[in-house]
Amino acid sequence: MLNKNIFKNKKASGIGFWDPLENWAEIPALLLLIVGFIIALWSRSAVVTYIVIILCGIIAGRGIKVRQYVHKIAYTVVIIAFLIGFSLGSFYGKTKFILVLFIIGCYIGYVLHSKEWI
Amino acid sequence: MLQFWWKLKRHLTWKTSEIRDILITILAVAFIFAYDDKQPVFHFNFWLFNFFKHILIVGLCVMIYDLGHKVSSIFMNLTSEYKMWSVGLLIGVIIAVLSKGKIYLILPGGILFHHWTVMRLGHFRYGLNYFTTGLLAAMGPVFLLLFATFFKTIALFGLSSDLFNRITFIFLYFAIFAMLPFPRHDGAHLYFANRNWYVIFLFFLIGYIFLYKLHFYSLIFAALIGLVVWLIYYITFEESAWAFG
Repeated sequence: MLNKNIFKNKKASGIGFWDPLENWAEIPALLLLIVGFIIALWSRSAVVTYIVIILCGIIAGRGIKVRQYVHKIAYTVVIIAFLIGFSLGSFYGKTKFILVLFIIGCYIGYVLHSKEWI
Repeated sequence: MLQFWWKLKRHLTWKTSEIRDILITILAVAFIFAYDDKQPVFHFNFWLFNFFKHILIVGLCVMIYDLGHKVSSIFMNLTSEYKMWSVGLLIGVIIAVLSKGKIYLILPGGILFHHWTVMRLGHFRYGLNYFTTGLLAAMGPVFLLLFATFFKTIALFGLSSDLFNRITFIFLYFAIFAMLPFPRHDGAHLYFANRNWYVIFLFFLIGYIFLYKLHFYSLIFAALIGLVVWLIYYITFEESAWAFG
C-alpha cells in the first residue's frame, strides 16, 4: 500500500519529494520528448522522417563527444526521451529504422567531431 | 591610413579551418534558401540551378559579412576568426526540410577575437575588452545592411531586379539572424558587451526591414527608429534596472 505521507515528508530530501535542482535532467528530457514528438508529427513522409532523424543523430553525436566526461547519464536520459517522443510521433516511419538511423547519425556526428572535421 | 592599408595587405588572411567553416556555412545556408524553388512540379535540373545560384548569393553574403569583421578588427588591431555553429546550421536544415523550405532559420555562427599583441602595445585598454569586441561583432551585420541597401538601389533602377531583390532579402535575413544573441553569434557579443548598443543596432536592422516592407528605403530613418526604440527601452527598463539608490 502506498504510503501517502511520503509526499508530505519534506525532511527526507530537504526540499520536497521532487527537487528540480537535483533532478534537473528530467526537465530537458520532458522538453525534448515534446520537441521530438512535434518534429516527428511535422514530417509528412517516411523519407523526411528518416532524413530528419539522421540529422538529429548527427547533433546528438556531437553532444556525446562534447559531454564524454561530464553529465553522461543526464545526456543519455535526454536523448532517450527525444527518441521516445520522436517514435511516438512518427506515423510514416518504422520505429526500428528510426532507431538504426539515429544510431548511424550519432556515429557520424561523433566521428566528425572527434576527428575535428567540423 | 597608410598603416591601415599595409595592415590589410599583410594580415587579411584566412586560416584553413576558417575557409572550411565558411564553405560549410555557405552550403548549408544556400540549401536552406534554395530548398523551396517555388515551382509547382519538382525538376531536379531547375532545383540544382537554383541551388547554385543561391550558393553564389550566399557566398557573396558570407564573404561580405566576414570581411566586415576582419577589416574592422584589423582597424582596431585585433584579429577575428569565423567559427560556424554546426548545431545551429543543422537545426536550420532540419527546419527547412520539415517546413518544405517555407521557414528559413539561419543560425550560422560567429566570430572569435584574438589579441594582436604587437599592434596593441601602448594602447589604452590594452587587452581584449567586451565593448570593443561587441561593436566589432556588430560590424558584420552592418556591412550586410549597407550592401543590401546598395543592391536594393540597383534593383530599383530595374537592372535584374528579381536577382537583386533576392540578394537584398538574403543579406537582410542573414544580418538579422546574426544579431540574435545565440551562442557565437554577433548578437551575443554585443548583448553581453552593452545592452543599449545592442538594442540600437538590432532595431536599426529591424527598422530598415520595416521601412523596406513599406517601400521606403532609408538608412537614416532606420537609425532613427533604432534610437527611438532604445529611448523607450532605456526609460522602461534600463534606467530602473540600474537605479540602486
